[in-house]
Amino acid sequence: MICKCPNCGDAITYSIEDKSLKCSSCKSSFDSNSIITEALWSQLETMDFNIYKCSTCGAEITVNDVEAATFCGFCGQPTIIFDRVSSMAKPQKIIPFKVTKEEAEKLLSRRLKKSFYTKKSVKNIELDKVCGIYVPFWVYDIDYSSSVLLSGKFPIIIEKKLLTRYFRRRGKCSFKNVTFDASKELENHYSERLVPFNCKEMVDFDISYLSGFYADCYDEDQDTSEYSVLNMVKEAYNSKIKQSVHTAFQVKIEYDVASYKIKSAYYALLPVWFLSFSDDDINYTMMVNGQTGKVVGATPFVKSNFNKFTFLSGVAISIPLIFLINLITDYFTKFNLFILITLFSIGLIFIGKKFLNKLHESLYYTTLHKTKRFANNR
Amino acid sequence: MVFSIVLGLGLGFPLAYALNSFFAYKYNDCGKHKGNFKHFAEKRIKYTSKKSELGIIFEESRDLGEDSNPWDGYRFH
Repeated sequence: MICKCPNCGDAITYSIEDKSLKCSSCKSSFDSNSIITEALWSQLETMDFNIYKCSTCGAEITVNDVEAATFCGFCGQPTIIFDRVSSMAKPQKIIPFKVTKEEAEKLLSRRLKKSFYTKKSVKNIELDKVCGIYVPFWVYDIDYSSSVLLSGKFPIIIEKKLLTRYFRRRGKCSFKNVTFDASKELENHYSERLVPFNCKEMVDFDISYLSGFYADCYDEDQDTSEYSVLNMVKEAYNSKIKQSVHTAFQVKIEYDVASYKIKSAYYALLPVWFLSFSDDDINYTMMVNGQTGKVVGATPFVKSNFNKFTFLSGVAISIPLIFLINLITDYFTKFNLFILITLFSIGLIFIGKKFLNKLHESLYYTTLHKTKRFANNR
Repeated sequence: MVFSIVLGLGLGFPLAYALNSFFAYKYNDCGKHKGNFKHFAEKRIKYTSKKSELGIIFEESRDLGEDSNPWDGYRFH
């Protein structure tokens, strides 16, 4: 969004350090009320947006009266055509950016330097595509209650089976500020990692906060997101309920009857920095929580480096192990030792595979074309 | 000795693989923790009820034992 400076006519943007609107040329500071007039502000119960359609990618771009757009926010093409005017609900709350662009870049470059099995060139990569986007979120306050029947195993064997005990729990819990991404363009599994946002720092929406940043409108309505949010809450609640059973293990939920009440749900804009870079023609889009500075995403991982390092460390670890096994062969029969070590090795391979799968899942979201389209070339 | 070498290599390489995978996951995957119960509910303990445990206020918490028919006499609310 761009606002014009009343003194010099240049663009004024929201300054994170000064927490006010600042002109980039004459360095004048302005109160938002002096820029956003009463008349304009009163229209903002709902905001009138001009809807533009990109003739290249078909994405709809919403631009309000005080905003100037010269290119498509999704594919970067300048070929956008006016489509229609639409009224959309104004966000009720906003968390202003607290982390500056430079800080976000520093946080990411620190993570890149720390990463393993990454090319040296990537560790010092130039981040030229950095943009701050206010991402739309639904924020829920939910009262949740449920009656749960749990079962767990007890370490007593009866008729060759572990004893099963049952537990009853009836409780309630209030969930506050459950945030859920309201943008279809951003993958939910990826944006879920941005939380927690400190909602105590949330303020009433003021359009001046948007100046100098990009902002998207929600395209996933409240009803659609409600189902996912309730599942999220249920999962969190049930995992905690399981922890309340201390006297058994392998605790599982046999049956639960839940009820909930959505106390409030509001639409808020939350700050996120999107940082993109390319390596071997693969685009990586990482995110930084614009309030807390939490870095989200997976850094490039070179398989050949990993294999090389695994081979070398394998040789280094094996040498002392050979001597150790040679020493303990007197205490175990060869067969028992063979079985023990084989099982242990299979377990280790399984654990290693699990870690790598998790990393690849994260890499998938970081390199997802959808995320790239959301952030790049704005 | 041949037996020790075979077992040493058999254990050493999987151990190296698991360790390297762990470090790759730890240092290459940033912000892996999603929002969980703690972020949304745990702080409630402070201002709700002293009976509250883990952020949940338990209205009923009973061990039913090894009852083979746990549904007997049980009514969900």
